Amino acid sequence: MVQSDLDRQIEQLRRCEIITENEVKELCCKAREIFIEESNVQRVDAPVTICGDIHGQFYDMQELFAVGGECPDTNYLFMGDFVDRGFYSVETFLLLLALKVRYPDRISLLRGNHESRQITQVYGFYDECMRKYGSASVWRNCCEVFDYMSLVAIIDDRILCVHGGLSPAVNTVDQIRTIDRKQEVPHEGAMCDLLWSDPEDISGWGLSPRGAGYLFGGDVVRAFLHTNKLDLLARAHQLVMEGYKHMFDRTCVTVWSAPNYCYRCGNVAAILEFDENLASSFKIFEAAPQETRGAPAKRPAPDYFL
Amino acid sequence: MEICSSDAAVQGTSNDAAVSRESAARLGYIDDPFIQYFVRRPQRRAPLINRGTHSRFDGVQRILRQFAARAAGCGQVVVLGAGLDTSYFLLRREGLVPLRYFEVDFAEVTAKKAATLWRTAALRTLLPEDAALAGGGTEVHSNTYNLVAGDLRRFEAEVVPTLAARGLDTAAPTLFVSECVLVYLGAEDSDALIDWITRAVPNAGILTYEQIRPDDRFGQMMVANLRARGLELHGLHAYPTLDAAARRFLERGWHAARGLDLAEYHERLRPEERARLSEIEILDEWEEFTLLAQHYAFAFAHTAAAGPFDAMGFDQQ
Repeated sequence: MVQSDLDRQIEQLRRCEIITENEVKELCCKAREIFIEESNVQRVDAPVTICGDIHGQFYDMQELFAVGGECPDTNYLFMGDFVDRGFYSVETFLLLLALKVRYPDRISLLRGNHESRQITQVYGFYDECMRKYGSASVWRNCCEVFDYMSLVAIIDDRILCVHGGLSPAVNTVDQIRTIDRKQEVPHEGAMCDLLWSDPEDISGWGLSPRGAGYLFGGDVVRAFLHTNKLDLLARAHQLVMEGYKHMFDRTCVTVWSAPNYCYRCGNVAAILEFDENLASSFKIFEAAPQETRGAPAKRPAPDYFL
Repeated sequence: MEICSSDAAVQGTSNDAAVSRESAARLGYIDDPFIQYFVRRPQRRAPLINRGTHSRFDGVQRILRQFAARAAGCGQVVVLGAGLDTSYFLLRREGLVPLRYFEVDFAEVTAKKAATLWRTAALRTLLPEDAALAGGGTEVHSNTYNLVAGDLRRFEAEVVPTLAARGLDTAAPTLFVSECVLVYLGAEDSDALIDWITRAVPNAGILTYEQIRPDDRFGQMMVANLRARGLELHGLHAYPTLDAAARRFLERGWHAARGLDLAEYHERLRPEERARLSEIEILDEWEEFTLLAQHYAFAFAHTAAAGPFDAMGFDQQ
């Protein structure tokens, strides 16, 4: 791919305009070549800004970049759930992918539980691809990329970042390295748990109301961090109204980056910045104002019980 | 005129509710073979909407069935703002029909419903034998089932005489049902309606399912999003909490009242039922479901210590 083509695609996607089906195919191919070289456990160096769920809220992601700085000026780590729910999953995911291909060392993308064939068919990404391209090929290309994305990242050997959380099948980071990740997210097992689990005020492990993954308590987090000589578990996956939430004496933090989630929840969003000494600070942002959303949005109103 | 356009939006909510109900029925969340006849363009709703629709349906059907069983042969049901609700047919299918069953809504809605009832064999065969179209096709009349047109804002002046003409017996145990209906009325109109029940029906029960909690961030967004669709929840701020939703009856001297939000109702579903629902679709958006469901509440209240209502409630089967 010629770099000027890629830069043009990035500019186009930044305006929330889709690129052609052939361009998507080529971009996904390139991205796969990059992801395949990455380990299940991505090494990331501080300074870095970590982000939680985006869920196709393209204009809100533009707010994120406005607040956190543009890539490549800022080094980013996104913890998954780029697609589904919002109206611009295609543009959101392709922009992140194009940035990854253009600046592979300045942006890391982890897989979330929505980066899955099964989930995207229920929660909107599949339908959006069909609507915008008239065929399933873009969806299929993107799903192949999902299969190659890293599962966790470790910042400066101190901070473990993952979409969901821990797994009873995983005691050490080395065990994560041995997972064969290049597949659809399974319904159970270590890979599933990393993408689906949630921290909860319990001791030990509990059943998740989501029907996949587990609930894990503060004792589990402390034991895992101790065993692996880590300081912090950073994760996304759960809506928090304030954008972030500390748990378990600040050994676990949830970061949520989709403001007014689903155009319905009224929450603010956050990103978490680590400087070169791993000093951390949150940046809070709100949903993009209606007038920046381009053409008078004919977006369907969010559902309620009427 | 603004009033007219907002009335049309409120009337449109009956379609929206039917689409949600049809989605939940088609996927197997709820057992409602009749709702399909009222939905021209089916949509697949998001899993959290389907899950909430199940809880809402389950709660309303639970109370209706309890009443039909405990007031068999003497009870009356009045569904306020019935929209395209199929509960009558669901009860009828099981032979659980109260003595009299009334559905009230705007004529624009009842006309559509009457036409569908009339041309759909699966529905029409469940109507009483003496059922006849009336009011120029906007109503269905019979001795036991009546679909009538009326504006709930003129309840005592307009709706009550219509119901009386169709045989409403204020001496009989009567269950009133409002699903997302009273909240669209101004508080003075819904208060007037409840005041009339308090005065005129000595043995009355009411089941409401309405929005609550307009003041937190989710609630503010809910109010704004619905306003953008032309829907004003006029009565919401007068009764903004679970407690207020129940207290409005106790303050009028009703014997008992209890509120339960939809999140708690869902929590209390039998584990087997929740497991069954999880098998239908993965509900990933757990926090969002809880938020949404916390903004809807059932209230069940009744006026008298004796009679069918005292043994009814969300904890009973």
